[in-house]
Amino acid sequence: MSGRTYRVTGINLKGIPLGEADRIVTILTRERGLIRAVAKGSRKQPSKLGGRMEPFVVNDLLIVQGRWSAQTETSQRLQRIVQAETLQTFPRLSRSLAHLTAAQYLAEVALLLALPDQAQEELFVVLVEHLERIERAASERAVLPLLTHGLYHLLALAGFAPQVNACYFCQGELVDSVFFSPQWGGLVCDPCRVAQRPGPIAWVSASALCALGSLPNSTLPLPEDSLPLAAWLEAERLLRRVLEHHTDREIRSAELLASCYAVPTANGQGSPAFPEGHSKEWASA
Amino acid sequence: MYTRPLARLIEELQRLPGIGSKTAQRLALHLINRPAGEIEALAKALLEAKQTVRHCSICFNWSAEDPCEICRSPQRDPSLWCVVADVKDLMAMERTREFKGLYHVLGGLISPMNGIGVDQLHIRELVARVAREKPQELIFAISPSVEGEVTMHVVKDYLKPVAPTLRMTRLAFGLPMGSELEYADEVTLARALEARQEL
Repeated sequence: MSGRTYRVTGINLKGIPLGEADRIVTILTRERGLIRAVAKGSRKQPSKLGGRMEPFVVNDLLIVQGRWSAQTETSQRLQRIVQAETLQTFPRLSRSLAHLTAAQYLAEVALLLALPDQAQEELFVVLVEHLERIERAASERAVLPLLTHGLYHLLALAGFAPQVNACYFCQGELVDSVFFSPQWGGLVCDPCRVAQRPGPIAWVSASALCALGSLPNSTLPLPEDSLPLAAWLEAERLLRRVLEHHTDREIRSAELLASCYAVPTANGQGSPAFPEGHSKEWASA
Repeated sequence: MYTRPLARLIEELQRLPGIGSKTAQRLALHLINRPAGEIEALAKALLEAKQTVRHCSICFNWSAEDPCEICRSPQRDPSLWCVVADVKDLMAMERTREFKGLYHVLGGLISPMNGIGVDQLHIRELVARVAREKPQELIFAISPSVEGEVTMHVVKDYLKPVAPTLRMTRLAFGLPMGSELEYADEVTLARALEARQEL
């Protein structure tokens, strides 16, 4: 049996019900990247796997590989979790919609970037670090800059980090009108936009430029409230376009992000503080 | 391998949750062996259920009549409501025979990753119903998961402005009856410790 079992440390990113009482859990592991495994009976009471198979729980896992024929599709090759010992949990992620949305957002990004059967220690460490920071965020407002920061770092790990401190083309200083090209991966100054015509491009507000500029640091140097929420929402949206450009997939959690930061309007109805179509939207240069 | 109508029956049965090809074959062959009257009754029951069962317009329970039996019952306490995520949870609560109040079914839990937010659930309907009927207490009988917790917080935040005096409680969480402490997982044990009670 030992040849078919292995031990890994991983964080649960997603779980889907299987049959009456089981669950298929997608886990980002340090040693083997992304794995999918069945947690038998984890939806049943009492189950020793139950709480350990919830999203955002880091476990030391013992996994047994199934037997399958060579014709079995990769998606059908499920392994089984036989033992789990919890190392870390993030209970305070459930304190607000913003905390959960941000955590699920980063989990979705990690699911897009992670590769199966390959050690991905850095991705695991960076994701856990940013989840810890989001969990520690005292208010919903503080979550958004941390989410954007986490998104940038995950993009950087995948090699997609956009140029955020100088013009992508001329490496020159950014003055006056500044634009962002997800296709080229970064900021573009006005003269280069005219000269290079880099495809779909968005105008970047001064506050969003400031937010973007702070992202390469390991921690956010700015106090949480020094930039408006709209700036962080804009920065998040620009980074999301980079991710979507490279992976050709959408982040579903992003749909709820705007509603987490709804502000009351004159008619008493909540509306997103920063709607999707803000400012000068994507225009072809 | 099978004659065409039988193959079609197997195919249809296979679409049901938890039924694989072997079970579908077994069920189909069993059905064929039953008397025609029994099969007609089954087919009629399926059709009738599909045609008549709807969401109750008040609590979103499944019911052939609107409002549902629970909402119409004079024996039920209208000041005490139980908020559940799904009709299956409502049925679990009913099986206890302890709860005599009314229900509100949210229709799921908030899950940004699956695109489920406030607008996909019956949260606004609950707010309007609370404002209209003014219950005294709402019991949240929602599974203790990250998504369940967030859903409870969001519903609470929506209800506070319309019903500032409404008592909102949640089911206790912790160790299941008959379980052994040494086998409890750390997450459950930590929550049980958090929600400890005076002896």
